[in-house]
Amino acid sequence: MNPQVAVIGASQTKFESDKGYEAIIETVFNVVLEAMADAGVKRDDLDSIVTSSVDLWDGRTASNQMLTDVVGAIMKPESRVAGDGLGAAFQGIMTILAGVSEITLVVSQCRGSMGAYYEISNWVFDPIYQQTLGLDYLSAGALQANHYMKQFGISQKDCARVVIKNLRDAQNNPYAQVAREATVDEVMDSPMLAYPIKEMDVAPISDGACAVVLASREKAKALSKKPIWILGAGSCLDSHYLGDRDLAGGDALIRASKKAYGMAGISDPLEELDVAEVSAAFSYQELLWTELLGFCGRGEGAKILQKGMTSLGGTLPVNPSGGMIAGNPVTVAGLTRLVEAVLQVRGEAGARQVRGARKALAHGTTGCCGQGQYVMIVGN
Amino acid sequence: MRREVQQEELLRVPVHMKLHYRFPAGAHYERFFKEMKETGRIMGVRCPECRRVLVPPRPVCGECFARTEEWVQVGPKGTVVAYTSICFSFIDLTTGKPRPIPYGAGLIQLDGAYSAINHILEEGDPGKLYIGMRVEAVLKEKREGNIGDILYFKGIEE
Ligand SMILES: [Zn+2]
Repeated sequence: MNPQVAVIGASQTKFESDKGYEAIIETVFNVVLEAMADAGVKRDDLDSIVTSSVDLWDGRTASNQMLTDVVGAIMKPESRVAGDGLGAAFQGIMTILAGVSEITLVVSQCRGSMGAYYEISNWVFDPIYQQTLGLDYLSAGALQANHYMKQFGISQKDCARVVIKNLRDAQNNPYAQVAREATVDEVMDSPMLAYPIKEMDVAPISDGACAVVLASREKAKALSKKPIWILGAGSCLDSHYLGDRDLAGGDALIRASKKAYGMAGISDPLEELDVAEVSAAFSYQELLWTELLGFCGRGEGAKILQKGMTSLGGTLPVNPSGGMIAGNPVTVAGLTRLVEAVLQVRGEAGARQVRGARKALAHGTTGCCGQGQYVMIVGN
Repeated sequence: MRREVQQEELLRVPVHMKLHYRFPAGAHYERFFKEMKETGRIMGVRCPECRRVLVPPRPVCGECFARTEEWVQVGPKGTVVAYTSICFSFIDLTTGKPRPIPYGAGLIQLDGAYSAINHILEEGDPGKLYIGMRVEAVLKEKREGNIGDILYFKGIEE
């Protein structure tokens, strides 16, 4: 089937530990103007807007309302996804498939520097059974890490190699917050936060924003010289309670990716995809997600990384941008992956370009330990 | 139909949420407050397209989707465009104390401005407040660079 929706504009900010030098609305206005200029559309051309942001990060109730002016939403329909930006892109696609919009702007913003990571992620959990025990995204991630690593014999050094690859590749990404050469020893020697997760295994917290302009098939063909088509998309939720899930199993991601691969006509992702950008907030997650996405067998994520198959120049580069380890604007992470995927298949990814990339995967998660999973395949 | 509950009281778990934010104001708000603190002048910005003066100043005119850069002085006199008299108290975040009731609250269109700003009115009696009432900003002696530098708007005879 011919793809019905295309990305015709994409933009991201530099990710920084503190963008306190400008107001949120300035950051968002700039990134929106860039995406619209990239798409060659004006505000009048936008039929609807979908934003992604989270009140607790923004310190305001219904915090998308502060963005109305700067996302061009006055006298237009806007809806907000209170979660990952790739989820907002799904909503954006639906506005077009539903026939209510021909051009939809998708915007995601977060100021990680403003809020308190521990409290905000602690409040994700059940106040009756879990919150008071101190559970947060880090300690929950540690449970998942250990479960996965024990089950498949993954070592802490295997995870450290994810950090090294991502920090190294991030040196090619001008939008990255952290980028440098690092060593396994350095990661191993960084302070233990929650066994087996150490400080360097964790994505930093960043400020940043992303914007994407989506268009219907007709509009994309009429307006864009370089439309990037959404070839497949799948999303899936696991249960909220960690204790109800197989933490290393990841059925939700398997289902979401199978749906996306089916739509895109992909049967062997390792061979048929050219690049993948995955949302891994911890080093172990990149290994886990690559397995669940079917790039290798279960327990082989570390092996394909060590062979260099997921490095720039390998069979299927994973996170040539550096991924979230290089910059993590929390709820913006998934839309950042889509922007990177689009740049790759356009051939506009600069020094991090995967040569000849034609099909790319963007992955996002929402909730704890990948409860919600989004997979999108884009191509030209 | 509601089920009869045998227990005296079902469990309710208290949840206390306490968070601190440092909200980045941005250059426009910073200049607005700096100007008011240092010179006592209330400033707005003019949109380059619709020419309206926005108060408080902000970096973007949402209607025109245009950046605003031209600064103009407005007020300190203005006109009440909406008002109410508040009879419940709230904790004033700038003083930490409850504000005495009743007090007037309104939207005031400062002379020279298009948009009206929310602020406190000295007059709290709804019988004495009216739309179109002329008012003037009363500023603090020792200004600190926040919205409380305007104490309130008082009615004036012209
Ligand atoms: Zn204007």
